[in-house]
Amino acid sequence: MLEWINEFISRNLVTLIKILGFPGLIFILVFIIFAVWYQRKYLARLMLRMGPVHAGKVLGWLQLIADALKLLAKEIIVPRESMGKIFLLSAITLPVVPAAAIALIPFAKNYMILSVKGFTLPLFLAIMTLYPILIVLMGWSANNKFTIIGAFRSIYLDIAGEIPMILSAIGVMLWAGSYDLQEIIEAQKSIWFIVPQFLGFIVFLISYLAMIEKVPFDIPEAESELVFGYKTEYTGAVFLDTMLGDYVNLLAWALLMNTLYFGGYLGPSITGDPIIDGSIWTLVKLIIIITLTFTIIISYARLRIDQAVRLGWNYLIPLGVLNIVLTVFIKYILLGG
Amino acid sequence: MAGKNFLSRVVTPFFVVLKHVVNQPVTHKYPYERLKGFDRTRGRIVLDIERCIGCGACGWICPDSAIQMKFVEGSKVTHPAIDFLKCSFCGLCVEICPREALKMTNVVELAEDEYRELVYTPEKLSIEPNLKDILPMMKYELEPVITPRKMGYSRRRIEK
Amino acid sequence: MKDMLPYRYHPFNEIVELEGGLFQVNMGPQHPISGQGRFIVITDGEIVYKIEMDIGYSHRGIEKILENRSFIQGIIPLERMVMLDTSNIVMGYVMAVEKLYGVEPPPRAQYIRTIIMEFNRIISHLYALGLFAESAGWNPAIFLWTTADREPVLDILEMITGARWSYSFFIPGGVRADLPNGVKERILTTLDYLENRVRVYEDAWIYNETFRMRTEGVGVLPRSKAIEWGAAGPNLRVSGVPYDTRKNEPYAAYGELDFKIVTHTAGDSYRRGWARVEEIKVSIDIIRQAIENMPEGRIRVALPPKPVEEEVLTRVESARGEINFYVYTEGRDRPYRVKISPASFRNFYVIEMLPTIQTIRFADVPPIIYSFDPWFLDADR
Repeated sequence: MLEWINEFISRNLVTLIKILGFPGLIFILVFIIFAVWYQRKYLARLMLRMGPVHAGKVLGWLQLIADALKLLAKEIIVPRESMGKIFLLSAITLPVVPAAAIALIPFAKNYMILSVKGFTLPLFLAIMTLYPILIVLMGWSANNKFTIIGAFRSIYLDIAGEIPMILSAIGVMLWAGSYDLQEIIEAQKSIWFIVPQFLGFIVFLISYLAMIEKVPFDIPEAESELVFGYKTEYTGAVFLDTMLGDYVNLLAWALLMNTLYFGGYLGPSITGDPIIDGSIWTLVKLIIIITLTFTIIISYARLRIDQAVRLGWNYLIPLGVLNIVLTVFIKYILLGG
Repeated sequence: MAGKNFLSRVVTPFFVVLKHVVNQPVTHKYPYERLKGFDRTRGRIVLDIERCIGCGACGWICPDSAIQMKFVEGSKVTHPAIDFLKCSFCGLCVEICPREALKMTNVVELAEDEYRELVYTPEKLSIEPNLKDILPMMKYELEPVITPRKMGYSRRRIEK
Repeated sequence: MKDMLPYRYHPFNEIVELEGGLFQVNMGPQHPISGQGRFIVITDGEIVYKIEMDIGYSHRGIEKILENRSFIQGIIPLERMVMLDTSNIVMGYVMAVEKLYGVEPPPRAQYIRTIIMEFNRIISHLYALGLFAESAGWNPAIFLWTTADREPVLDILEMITGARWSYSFFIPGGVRADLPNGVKERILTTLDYLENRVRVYEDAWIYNETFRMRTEGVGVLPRSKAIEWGAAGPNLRVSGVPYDTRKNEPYAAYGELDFKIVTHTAGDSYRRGWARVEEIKVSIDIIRQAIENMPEGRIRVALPPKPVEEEVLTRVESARGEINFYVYTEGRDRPYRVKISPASFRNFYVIEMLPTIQTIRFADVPPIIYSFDPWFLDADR
C-alpha cells in the first residue's frame, strides 16, 4: 500500500505540486490572504488612514488571521425558512468555480494545472458562466427579499457584462489567431495586446468590473440599499467561504486580463529558469492589475442597475462589435494576416 | 471649472484618488501616540484643596448635577466631589470658582472598571493626573501642525 | 389617494408584503444607511410608492430639559441637539436670551462667534458630503477624506474653545474667552488647505461622471413645492429661493460682511450636494473677512439681574437650514417654555412628500434622503 502511494507520488510529483502548491490550492489561499491584506492597507492609504497596525506588529499582517478565526468561531445560522442544504452547499461551492477556471491559466511557459491545448479561452469563459448560477441559488435559497433582489440584480449585471467580455475576447482571439491561452501569450512577444486592442481592453475592463461585482458595479451587494445583497443571511465560516469565492473570482478575472492584454508570463529573464521567471512576471503583473482594480473601486459611485445594464447593452456591445470589425480590418486586410 | 468633458469626468477622479498614495495618514496609533491638546483643552478637573473655601458655587452652576459638596477629614468646610460619569467637561465650575481652586488638565483618559471609581472624592480630585501612569505604552505626544503638503493633514511628533 | 393606502405597522420585519402587491421595506434602525431612525419605504416593485420617516428614536426632551435649567446651564444640554453643528444651534438660544435681557454683545464677541459658527458650518457640510457619497454607493473614500479634513478645523476649534465637539463657548452677553495667541495664522493656513481640498472634492466627486449619472435629475424639488412644504437651508436655496437668514435677517457679524448666497434652479440631488461644496467656499470667504475686520474691545458684557422682555422669537441659519427658537419666561432666570423648530424636521416632511410629485426608484432612495442632509437627532430634539 505504502509503496503504491510512494510510486504514485514520484510519478505524479509535478502534477501534485501544481494542484496543491503553486498555481493550485496553497497559492490561491496565500494570494487571497495577501489580497485582502493589501486591499486593506492600500485603500487605507488612499483614504488617509493607516489600516490595521496592531496585530502582528509589522503592518498588521496578523489582523486577517484574527478576523478569519473570529468568523470560524461564530455560529453558523441557517434561517428557518431557507432551503438549508442548497443555502449552505451553494455558498460552499462558490470558490470552486473560479478556482477551476484558474487551472487553465498558464503561469509560465507550459506551466498550467490542466495541460490542455486548443479551446482554452472559450473553456475558461464557459466555466466562469457557472458562477452567477451559484449566486442565484444563494439568493433564492436564503428566502429573504434582500438576497433575492441581490441575486437577480447579479444576473442582470452578469448578462450585461459577460457578452461584451466575450466580444472583447473574440477581438484578442482574432488578433492572435488562436483560441489557446498560451498561444495568445506567445503572440504578444513583439507587443502586448493592450496597444493594438486598446478599444477591446476598455470594453474588457468595464465588463471585468461588472463581473467581479465591485464598485461602480457592486449593485448586487449595494450596502446602502440591500444590506449585503445575496450574502445577507450568511454567518461565520460560510460567510468566510462566500468572501473566499469573491476573491477567487477576482483572481481568475485578473489573471485572464493579464493573459489577454498584458502579455501573461512574458518579461525579461531574471534567473534563467523559464518557469520561475514566468511565475514572477505573472505575479508582478497580477499585483499591478489588482492595484488598478482597488483604485477604481474607490474612485466611483455605484451605478443604478438600469444604468449599468444600459451601459452594457447600448455602449459596450456595439463597442465590442466595432472592435472585432476593426481587428479584422486592420489585421487581415491592412496588415494582410 | 475642471472636468467639463466626458472623458475627463471619468478619468480625473481615478488620478485624484491615486495621488493620495503619497500622503501621510491622518490617524494616529492612539495608545502609542497621543494628541497633546492645547492650553484650553478641557479635560479632567483638578482641585486645589488649600485654596477651596467650600462656597459651593461650582455645585450650583453645574448643569449636569455632577458636583456634590463633601466633607473631608481635617478640613472645616465642604469640598466638591465630581462624578465624571455625569460631567460633560463644560468648564463652568472652573470659570465660576472665586478662588481659582479648580483647574482643568488635558487628560481625558478616565476609563475605569466600575462606576464608583469614577466618582472622584475631593482627595482623589486633588491629585494631579500623570500620563505616564495612565498610558504606560505611550511613546510620543503629537502636536497638531498644518504641513504644507497638499493632500493630507498630519501632526508633528514630540519625543517623550 | 396614496394616503389611503392599506398600511400596517410592522416594527420588526424588514420587508413586509402589503395588500395589492406592495412591499414595505424598513430601512432602519439597523439598516447600514439609516442612522438613528427609520425610513419606511413602500414600494411597488422598483418604484417607490411612499416614504415615511419614522423619527423619535433619539428623543431626549431637550425642550423640557431647558425648562429646568437656568439660561446658562441650558446651553450644555442644548448642544446635544446637533453635535456637528453645536455653535449654530446655541447661537439661536443665546440670541434669544440676550433679547430677553435687552443686552447687545460687544462687536468683537460677534466676530468671534461668526468665525466659530462658520467653521462649524464647514465641518457639518463636510460630514454631510461624506454621508451623501456613502449613500450613493462609494466605498468610504470620500467619507474618510471629509472626516480627515475636519481634523484641522477641529484643532482650531479646540484651540479657541477648549473642546472638539460641544464647545459651550457662547454665553449670553458674549463669548467665554478671547482668541488665543497664534490662532490667526493657523486659521489662515487651514483655510488655504481647505480651499485646496475643496478643489479635490470637486475633481473627484462633484465632476465625477458616475456621481452625476446617479444623482442628476433625481429627487427634483420644484420651487413652488419647496416653498409650500417648507424646505430649509441649502435644499431650499438650490430650488431657486435665495433665502438665507444670514442675509435676510442678519445676526452676529453677518450684517457687516459681504458674501453671496449659493443658489441654483435645478433643485435635484446633484445640486444639493454641489451647494454644500459651494457653501464651504463661501464660509471660507466669510472667515477670511471676519479675521481681517476683527475689531478690538471687550468680549463679554454682564447681564442685568432680571429679564426685561417676556417672550422672544429668534432665527438663525444652521448648517441644515433655518432654526427657530421661541422662548417664554416669567421674569425668572430660566425659561418657562422653549419651543425649537429645527430644520431637519421640515426637510423630513419634504422627503416624505417627494414621491407624490415624481417617480422615484428604490435604488435612489438613500441618495435622495442623504442629499437633504438629514439629522435624526436634530428632528427628534
